[in-house]
Amino acid sequence: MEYSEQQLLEKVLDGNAGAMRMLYDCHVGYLTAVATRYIPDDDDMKDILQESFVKIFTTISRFEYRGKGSLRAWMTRIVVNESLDFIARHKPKEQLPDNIEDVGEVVDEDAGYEEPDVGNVPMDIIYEMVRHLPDGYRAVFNLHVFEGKSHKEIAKLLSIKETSSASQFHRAKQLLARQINKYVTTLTNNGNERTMAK
Amino acid sequence: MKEQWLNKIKERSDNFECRPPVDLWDGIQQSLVDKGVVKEKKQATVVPIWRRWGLVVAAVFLLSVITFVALRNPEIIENDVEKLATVEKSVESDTAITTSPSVLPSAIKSTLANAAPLTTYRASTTTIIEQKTATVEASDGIVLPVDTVTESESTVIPKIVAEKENDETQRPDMRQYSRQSKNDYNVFSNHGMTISNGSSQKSKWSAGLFASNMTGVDNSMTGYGNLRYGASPLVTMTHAWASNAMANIMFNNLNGTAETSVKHHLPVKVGASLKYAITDRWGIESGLTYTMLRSDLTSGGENNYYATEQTLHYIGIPLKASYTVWQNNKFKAYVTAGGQMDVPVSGRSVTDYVSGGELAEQVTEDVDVNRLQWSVTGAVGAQYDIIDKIGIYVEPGVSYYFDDRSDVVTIYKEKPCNFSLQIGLRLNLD
Repeated sequence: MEYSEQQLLEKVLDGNAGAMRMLYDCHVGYLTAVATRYIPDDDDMKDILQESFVKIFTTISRFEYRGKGSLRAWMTRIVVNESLDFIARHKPKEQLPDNIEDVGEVVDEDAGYEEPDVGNVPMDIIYEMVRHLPDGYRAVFNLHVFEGKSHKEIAKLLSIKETSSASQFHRAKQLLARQINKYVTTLTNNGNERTMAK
Repeated sequence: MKEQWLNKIKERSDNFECRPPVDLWDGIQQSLVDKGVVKEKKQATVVPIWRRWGLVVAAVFLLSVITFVALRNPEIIENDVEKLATVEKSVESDTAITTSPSVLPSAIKSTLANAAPLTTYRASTTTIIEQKTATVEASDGIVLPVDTVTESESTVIPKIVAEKENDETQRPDMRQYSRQSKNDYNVFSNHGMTISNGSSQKSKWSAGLFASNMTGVDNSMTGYGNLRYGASPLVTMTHAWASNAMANIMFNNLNGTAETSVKHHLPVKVGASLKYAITDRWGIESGLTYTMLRSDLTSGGENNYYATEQTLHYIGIPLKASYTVWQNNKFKAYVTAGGQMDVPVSGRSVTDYVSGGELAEQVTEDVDVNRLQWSVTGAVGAQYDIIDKIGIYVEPGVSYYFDDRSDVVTIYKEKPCNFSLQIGLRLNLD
């Protein structure tokens, strides 16, 4: 019998432990990457992944298979929600960037940064940079770029103003772009040094 | 308003994966068990217990060999005593050394002819007789094995001396002497070495070839397995992602049980060694070894499984010290201890994926262990000199292989402490 995700799901619903393990193996790598983007601490991330998978396996009966990729998308949503809950629980009361935005500061969208050339930058480096963005910026950036949420949706998810979401995203973009550009420059310089040394 | 670079990042992220945290699955399972969603499942692991017996067998074997040899040649002990007596007698008169050929074997006589000043000789001799149970540093630093003469035997010495004086025909066994001197054991011959400045001295160097073996390991457990730690069959086997072979195997086994059996073959170890005798009893040995480790893993069900054969090659450098506990002209019993550093030089793993009873795919990959393998060994040894220059030895012992902190599963990880038997030839270089 050729393996298909739908058939696997049926077995999981039957309570087949092997099928559960298989499902886990299939998606854990991707879901770990998702959690990594949101949660900078490894121990926290492990807890969140564990909670997510427990939730996945206990509510999988409610999931409706809608074609290829639907299962992964559903699992990703669970991981993202768990991550956001965690961030909300551990958010300090006073968060400066948020307050500044609430005052209604006008953000200059064209404030200069060069669009970085991400072609040669390894993905794990980019993920590390995203991971180390300041707390407020990170969630917004992730939700907008990777989860494709609009600022309106983000505002609702994070309980912030839509304008806050937009400005935090802009700040995050600037920061990340600067970091990537620095990385690329260092890479190029090292390359030049090597060529010069020859 | 999203820029190109962000789109590119998003696109690449669709296929980007990270290594999951260690023990994540265990945590999930435990949590599910706690919530009553799944039943607790016990994983059976079979661990061989006979390794302990192997140690016992080796010890008994060696003990019996030594006992057998010692019992067979009780006169060996007496001969030592005789030699001491002869030494003492020779010292008493200056002329004895050069003018009593009837007492001294010819082999030693010639070395004495090139003697250094007698004073050196005499001094060391008296020391020996006084300290019967201690080892003594002779003038050139050779330790004389006096301690083989026990208290009870020391009382025999005067008696034999007396007998000697009475019975002129009783001479030390000449054959014994010549063998002794070459084996660097006899007290007298050591003196011979001192005097002659080592001209007829047995070499301090010896070289050897050996082969060594330790016991193999068989293991079996339920579920899927891998010869790389932390590797789950699907997640880190990137090749499996591309092919469906692995997924098919796992899926088709879902209705049954998947089992893994691992067999670690006996490591094959051969080597060459060089031994330097620091003193008469102590020696230091090093060399070069080659070890091949082979492990077979089969995982899955009857018609749907994958089988991996992993072969690793190591080059090792041992360093051992050995102490001769007892020896006579032909036999030597000793203890040795030391360590070894093994460097992995190459490795390969071939995996067959069988789906529906047919070979679906074969994957070959290099295994890069990338870590040094350290080990320590303690052994007892018995050496028998077939001819003057060549001896055959057997060294049963215990080795402990330290965790090399690599993710490659080897027999050393499954069984770090094990019994090994090393057999080899030792050549006395000149």
